[in-house]
Amino acid sequence: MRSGYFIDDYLPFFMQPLSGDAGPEAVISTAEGSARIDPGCVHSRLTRPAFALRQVAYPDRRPPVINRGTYIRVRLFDWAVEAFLRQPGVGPGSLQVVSIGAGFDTRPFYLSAGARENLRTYVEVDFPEVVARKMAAMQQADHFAQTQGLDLPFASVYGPLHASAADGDLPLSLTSEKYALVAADAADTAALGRALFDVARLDRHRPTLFLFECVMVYIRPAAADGLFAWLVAPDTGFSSVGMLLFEMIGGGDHFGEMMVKNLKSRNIQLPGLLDDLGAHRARLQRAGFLQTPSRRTGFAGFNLHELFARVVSRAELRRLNTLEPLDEVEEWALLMSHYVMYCGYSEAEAAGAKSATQQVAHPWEAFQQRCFAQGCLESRSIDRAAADPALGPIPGGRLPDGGRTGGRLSFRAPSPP
Amino acid sequence: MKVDLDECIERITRLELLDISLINFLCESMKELLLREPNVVHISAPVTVVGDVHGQFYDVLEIFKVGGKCPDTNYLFLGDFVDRGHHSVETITLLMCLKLRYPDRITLIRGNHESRSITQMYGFYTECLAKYGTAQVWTYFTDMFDFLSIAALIDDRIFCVHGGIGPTVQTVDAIRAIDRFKDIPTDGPLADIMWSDPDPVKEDFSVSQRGAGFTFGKRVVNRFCDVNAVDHILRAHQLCMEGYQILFDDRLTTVWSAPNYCYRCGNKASILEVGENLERNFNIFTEAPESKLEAPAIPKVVDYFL
Repeated sequence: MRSGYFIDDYLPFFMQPLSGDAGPEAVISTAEGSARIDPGCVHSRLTRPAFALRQVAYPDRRPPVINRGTYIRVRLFDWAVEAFLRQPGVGPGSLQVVSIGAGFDTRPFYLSAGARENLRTYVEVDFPEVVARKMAAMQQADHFAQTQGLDLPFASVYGPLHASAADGDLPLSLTSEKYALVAADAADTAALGRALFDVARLDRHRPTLFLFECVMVYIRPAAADGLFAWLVAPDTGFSSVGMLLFEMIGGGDHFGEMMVKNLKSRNIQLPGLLDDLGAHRARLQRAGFLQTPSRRTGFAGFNLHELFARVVSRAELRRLNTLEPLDEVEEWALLMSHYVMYCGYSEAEAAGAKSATQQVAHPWEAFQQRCFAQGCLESRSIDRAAADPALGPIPGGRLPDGGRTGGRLSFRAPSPP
Repeated sequence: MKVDLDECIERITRLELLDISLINFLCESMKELLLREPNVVHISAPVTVVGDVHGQFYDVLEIFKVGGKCPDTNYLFLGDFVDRGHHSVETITLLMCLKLRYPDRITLIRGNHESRSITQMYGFYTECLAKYGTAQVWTYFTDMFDFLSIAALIDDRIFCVHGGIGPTVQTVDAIRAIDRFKDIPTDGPLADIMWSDPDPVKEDFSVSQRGAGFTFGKRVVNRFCDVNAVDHILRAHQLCMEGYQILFDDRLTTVWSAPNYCYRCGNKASILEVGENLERNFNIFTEAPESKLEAPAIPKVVDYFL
């Protein structure tokens, strides 16, 4: 049984601040930045009142545009991973998830029981520096919980975690039943292969979902092409693989130019930045991921502005507006339309033939539909605790659902301390 | 307390913050001054109208370079002086000092960001705390915001407001009747004029995406102009990539005066020069050199999802 504390409470406390912001460290700093955003975001953990209150009082308060954008990104990935793992008709322990450039994410430790049951392995991959610090943070968090007599936030989910130092070709890793955190540079497919197959022991014939949550922009285009081609390589690649990708696009306009300039001044380069969704699709085609003979493939993508309007239900929007109203609608439109999210899948014909004869919707196609289903981000359906009765009721009760009818603004801004 | 306003103006222009007790005194004086001003201020042309500036102090200095110094040029600021930019404190301090020094040569009307709840979310509160080490200064400023006028009329022919109009605000008299001396509520006529937006596609009122105020269309604008005998509506509130936008067959103009908004949007800004015969001339400008990200005054973290 879960204790009253939540995992993300721990991670920021145990992270050491980065020194300096120059060079390759800067990309690693984006992992830090994301970790700081996540706890500071009012929206992503809204259904936990104690946590939400803490976020609202969090001193490093981000602009509402950023909070809301983080919300949609985090929730959509949460929703999609749940939708993938809880698809009907798969055996227990049959599905795999790989998060490239996972940073300090804690998603695998929040999956519902149903999702965890169908999960074979959840792998998180990132640079050795990030993996080392995350490992240390996780172990310290567990240790701290132990001293307080609480459930261990990490070890209690998939069992004890075994750390392995880097040794020759074998990378730094933290593994347990169904979970692996492995160090690898995603631009190096040989290293990635060792991480996924040797350390995490993935089975390339099991359906696997790859998550590229704002990571491919930091990788050179040639290396990115190589990675996608490697995923579907005839004898060594995955026979049934899907991907979910989220990142910024250049858009070919002033805003995009300004973004590149601003990030450059923080020493963050975007070598893999593409202009638009069409360019992303074209890249997957070139790599042989999409529209390849002998593979059944699909692609569906949106920019985040249209996606937000599509997936956030009216009730959920009301709830967001109650917690933090958004005034800057033009800026929101500008910022969000420079981010895209898409789902692509590629399945070897032989693997797919089975489902065709069973006369059911092709699983990847069905997943794609569910991913971006209209109004799918409805508070109740993705509430991690509610989705899994085994976790028990949320301490302190649930936040009320929104305010008055649409078009009305209800502030519940905190009074200054 | 004897205060040399010229010295205050000179100091704040150099970004030297005025101390708390001085801010308190200036806000109190401002409240006394504003108490005597009506909800709808009458202005004689010529006047230069400025839209949202949102704490972009160097760009405000740029406005005075481009449009002429106050009091040489007569100015009307349409609100949203604070939040988002990195120098909200300096911006509102300067504008307040100018108003106290030249009360008949600069008019400040209220925007939706001149409110306690919004300033807590969009940066002004945080900035006050960071620059003064106490939230007291924020309290002085936001108390003063309650006294700001809420609309203006230029030669009785051009109606000026921050946001727009709402179904409960069909006449200028309705605005005169509002009790403005309070924080902006979440709905009602005061909220409507601060929050509403024009919708070029619609004819009438509709629900606003912002969650407050309404959107209003062509029929509403034409009716408002006819009923109140005005030729034109000037407002701000919405980001314009080109610095301004004209709608409804030249009956409504949005003026936006914060270039490269949030150091991210890459937009132009404008100020609108209304001449003696009410002719309208846009003066378009881009960000001041000191506003560029490389400048030491601007902290380097502009938010994106990374």
